[in-house]
Amino acid sequence: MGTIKDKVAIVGMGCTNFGDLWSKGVSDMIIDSAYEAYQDAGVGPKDIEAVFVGNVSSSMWTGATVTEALQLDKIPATRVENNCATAAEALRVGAFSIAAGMYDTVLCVGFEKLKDYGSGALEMPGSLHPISVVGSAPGSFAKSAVQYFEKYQIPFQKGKEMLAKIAVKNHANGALHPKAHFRRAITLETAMNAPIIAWPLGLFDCCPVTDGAACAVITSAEKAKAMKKPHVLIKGLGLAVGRIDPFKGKFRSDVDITFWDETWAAAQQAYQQAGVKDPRTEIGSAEVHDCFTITELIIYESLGFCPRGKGPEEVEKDSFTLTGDLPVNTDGGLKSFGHPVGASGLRMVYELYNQQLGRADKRQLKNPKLGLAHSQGGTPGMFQASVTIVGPGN
Amino acid sequence: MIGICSYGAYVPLYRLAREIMVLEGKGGAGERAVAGADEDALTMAVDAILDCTKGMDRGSVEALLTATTSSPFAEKQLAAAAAAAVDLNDNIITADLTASLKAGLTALKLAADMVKAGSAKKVMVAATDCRLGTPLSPVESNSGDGAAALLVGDKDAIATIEGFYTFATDFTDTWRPATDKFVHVWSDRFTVAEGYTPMMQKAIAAAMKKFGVEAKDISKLVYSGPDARTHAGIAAALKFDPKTQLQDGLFGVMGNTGAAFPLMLLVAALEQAKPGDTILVAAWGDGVDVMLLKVTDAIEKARDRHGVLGYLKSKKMLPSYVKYLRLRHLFYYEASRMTPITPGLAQLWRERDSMYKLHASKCKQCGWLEFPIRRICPKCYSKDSYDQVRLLEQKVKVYSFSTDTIPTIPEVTDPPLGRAIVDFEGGARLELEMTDFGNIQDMKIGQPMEMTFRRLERQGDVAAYAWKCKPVR
Repeated sequence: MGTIKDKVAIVGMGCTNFGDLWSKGVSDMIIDSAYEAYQDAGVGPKDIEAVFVGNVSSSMWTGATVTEALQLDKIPATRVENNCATAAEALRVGAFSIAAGMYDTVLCVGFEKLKDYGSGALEMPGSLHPISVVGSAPGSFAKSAVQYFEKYQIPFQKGKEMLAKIAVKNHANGALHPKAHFRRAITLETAMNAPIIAWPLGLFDCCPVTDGAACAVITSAEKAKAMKKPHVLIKGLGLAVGRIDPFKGKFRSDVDITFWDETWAAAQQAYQQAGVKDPRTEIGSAEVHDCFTITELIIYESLGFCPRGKGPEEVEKDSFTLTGDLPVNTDGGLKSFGHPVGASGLRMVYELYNQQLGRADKRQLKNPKLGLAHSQGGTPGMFQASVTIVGPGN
Repeated sequence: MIGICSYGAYVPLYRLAREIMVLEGKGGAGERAVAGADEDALTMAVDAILDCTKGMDRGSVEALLTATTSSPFAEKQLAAAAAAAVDLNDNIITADLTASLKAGLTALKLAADMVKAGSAKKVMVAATDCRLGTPLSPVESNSGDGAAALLVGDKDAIATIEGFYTFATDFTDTWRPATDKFVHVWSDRFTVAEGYTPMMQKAIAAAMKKFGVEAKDISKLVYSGPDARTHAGIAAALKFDPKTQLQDGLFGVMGNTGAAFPLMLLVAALEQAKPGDTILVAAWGDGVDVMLLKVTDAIEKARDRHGVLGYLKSKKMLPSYVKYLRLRHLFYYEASRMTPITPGLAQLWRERDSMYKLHASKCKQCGWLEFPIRRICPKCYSKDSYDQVRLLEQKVKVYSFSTDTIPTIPEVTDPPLGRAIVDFEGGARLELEMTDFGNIQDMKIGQPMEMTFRRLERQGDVAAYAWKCKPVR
């Protein structure tokens, strides 16, 4: 396998406010985020040579949803989909098109409009095998919490409290971001006493359903250097798609739902490309896929930030808070910033980009080092996991 | 001798106390059995057949007759669906006997005749009903939900069939129009005085005369009836001793289970029968069927069934009448605003071996067991080289579990939905719905579970069914 390290630069990014965007349609969200990215990069619509469109369920077909909104005429537009890793996928294939030397300026877009459909949570569609694929995402991940508590002998109340601490951290961070869906801090008691969504997970263990869009303008590292624009460089791109389809497959007896195997595999690909040997010390901050609090806990272990089973100790030590040694979800994560499925991966990179360029305001880290964005679609045992590593420009 | 070779039954987990079946004040005495939100006549028939065939090879069954007045389908056969679920052979005779409350005993007679005629060596008879009375009506209060299954053959009978008597009449006491889901009844001043009581007495007396037996020769008199008081009158009038010779009608603990009722009471009688006992069973509905049975020594081999009495012992009381309405889908939650995505008929058909028969694939090269059936082995990558393995008979335990409050499709769910990942003793692991689990906080990882065939919560016009798991009863 080759490496993408230092070949592609992000020179502009945009992100809408995330939330219940009743007054904005899909086109509005795409326009708002794209024009922020244009302005940031100092480019206009005529400079865009190709567009990669990430969306899961708010557009029926093709990348024309974006070319129509932005009036980009007769250029290559490719729609990609990889479940919750969809926006990361748009950036990944966009980066490859730059690295291949095909284009100088590429727009990568991720968007999702969920609230129009009135759904309270992402339900899993029944497909070929309705016997297994029933219910919602919270119900799938809740079983990981039950098994994790059993495996590591964590008493129920203690486990609930540990998960609540993760929600409290992410809400505290999101409260500092003007574009987050939920911009208020919560207490441990609020999180622990919330109504049950999928036992043992309560309301604050679950990320919301959100509208939003995010964009990146990318170019080659050489061109970015020549432009003398502030930028970040892509250091590694990992993607691991498991071989059980979450909309079809059941389970395999060798699947362990207390560890995210696909995330581990995607991280190893990205670390190898970026030359990261010890992620705990070399990664400065991480934006991870905290669809549920239990998901984030297991992500710490699956990204190699700590050994297996040690996540709870690190939560106890506040290792991943804004003032910890490896801040995680400095913008509030899915929990507080919100989760428009097809946009989240680029929203994560938006935060890493702002941290790298010193634009993160109250959340600004002194030494952002390398930034890591992690997305994973699917359900325990059957993931599509993506890891993107970015670092300082040249 | 042709007779019953095995028996089984199913009574759903839930009971409703009649005293709370009122808008105000206090209702009647005792309790009735209530099917769960995902149960119906089909699913209960499947559970009864599983009970009846416990430890047996179902491959030898050559016909399945199902009797019911409450099939979920007006057109489409319940017997064929049940046969697929319990994995009977494809080349068997299947038929539904419907619309009459005596259909169960009629089916038993036809099964015996099929064996006698040589058209099938072993015939499974399943009688099942989940009837709806209009809310707060006597029919609703007196009814119960349940199923019975009897295997008929000419070898190793536990009770031989010694005689049969029948008469058919157009007398109307209870009926359900084709367009209505509720059962209706005419005034019992008329239906009991002019129909049930004289016709049952006359038919049973005529049958006994035909069989050449008197009341003193009968160990147990078993028969159906609309309610406890009306039921009790028959035995007394025919000079049977209600204390020793009458099979309890189970009105106080189960209720009138419709077409399943005579066979469920017969199963209850068989559960307590001794070798040499003589059982006279009668079924009421559009006439009367009467059958004489003689219990053999082989009865002792059939003691490990749940049966009616076994299932009646394991129960969960419903907290309110509203909960009963909810389980029968007569009281609706606001539906989730999601568009239900339903498996198409072609998909259900293609995947039937996994979905209905619960077959897994076992790799011929490396032995890896996988569910659902997968064409390429995930371990050794051999392609299209597997045997199908039945999971249904295997022991099951819980790997992990949760609830899920999000899906609230009103047709079949009673939130919260239960979900579990279970391990089969043969090595397969699968994720499915969990039903009848009670309080989620009482569940434990590793606890034994059993499989039960239930309605899925997602369906369009076509009822979709699948295997779910539940704590062992």
